[in-house]
Amino acid sequence: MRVCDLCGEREAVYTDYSKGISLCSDCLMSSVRRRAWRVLEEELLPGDRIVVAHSGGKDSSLALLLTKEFADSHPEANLRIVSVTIDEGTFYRKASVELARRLAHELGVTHRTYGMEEIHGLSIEELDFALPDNWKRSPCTYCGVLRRQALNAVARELGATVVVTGHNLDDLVQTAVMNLSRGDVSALIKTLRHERRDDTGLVPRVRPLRMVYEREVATLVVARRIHAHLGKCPFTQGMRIGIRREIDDLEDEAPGTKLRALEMLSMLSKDLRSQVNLRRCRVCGEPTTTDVCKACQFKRELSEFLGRDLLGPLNLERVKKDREIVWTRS
Amino acid sequence: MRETIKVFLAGREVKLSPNTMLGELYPLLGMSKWSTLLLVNGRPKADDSYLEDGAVVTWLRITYHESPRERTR
Repeated sequence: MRVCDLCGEREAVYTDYSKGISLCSDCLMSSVRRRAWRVLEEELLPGDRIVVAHSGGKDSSLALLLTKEFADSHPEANLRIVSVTIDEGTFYRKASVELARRLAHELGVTHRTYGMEEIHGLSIEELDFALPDNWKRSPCTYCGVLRRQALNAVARELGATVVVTGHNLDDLVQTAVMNLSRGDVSALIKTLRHERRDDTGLVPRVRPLRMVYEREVATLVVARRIHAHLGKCPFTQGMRIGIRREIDDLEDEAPGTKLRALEMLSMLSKDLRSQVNLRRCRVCGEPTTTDVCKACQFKRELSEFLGRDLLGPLNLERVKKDREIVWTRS
Repeated sequence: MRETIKVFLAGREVKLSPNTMLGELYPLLGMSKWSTLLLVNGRPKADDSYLEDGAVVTWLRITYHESPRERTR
């Protein structure tokens, strides 16, 4: 049996190439918890009302678990947590919604699911059936934009002060490189920096897994049997897949590249001046950097194709009703 | 001293050297360890664990983003 290099007792389940050691499940969990809690200590404020964006996948499930542990071990901070799933309406999401509900229940956290169809008037499955193969965009492109907007609107209407997401180190390095390749400094800053501004309608993001490898997350979820869905979204396409492969190759050649890259980019981003001037979308009223937000631009082209009007404010009626009750139980 | 061990890889019996480590299977299978997690008898193990005779190795995709290069394999 290969024993853990830290405790010297239990069987090792993970090899950390950046440090050249192998760890058991308990020591890996302690290491991941330490990194995640450092982020939560730096970025959460006492009294924060936290919406955890909980798809039921491995990353958001571990983020919820670690955030709940953090809140429980800091009762003086009076942190309250609600787990929220945005259901895009795909067959893929059905299993993960159930696992999200189960984990939240096990942790004693209030869980709410809001449908993309309910909020935006269309589901990704409908798009997948309706759009021809040669359509200019994949359902994945629409999904990313509409899901992010729905999540922010739900968190805001629930009265959350922060949104915790499950973005891991691999996700963030990929996103940062994509932003760099597009020359999009504002998006780069948004990816790397935690900012609190009350006037924008944009709920600030906290990413506790930002210094945790995706591989560490997957190992922990399997080794500790955490309720989480480990499937691959069937709709995923785009620029990210190529960039991921190149970054992974670099990490193989020089272990720790991802950690060093994110640390360095985060340091540099502190000196960059944010060029983001947020305003309200002329069509839906959600925060945007342009006159009409990306979601409305997409919904306009889909309205023409589907032959029904998808434009206008988001339907957040059920969210508004939940506002008074969700925080009382967590 | 045995010259080979038998390992069940995706349901097929494969003969390997007795000092084969789990991590050595990633390149053999044409997989990236950053998008796949190899499991031994359903459990994760360190990549520098030696495989034992009769081990059942399966894998789990850990990323949502599939690379076009991997898709063709």
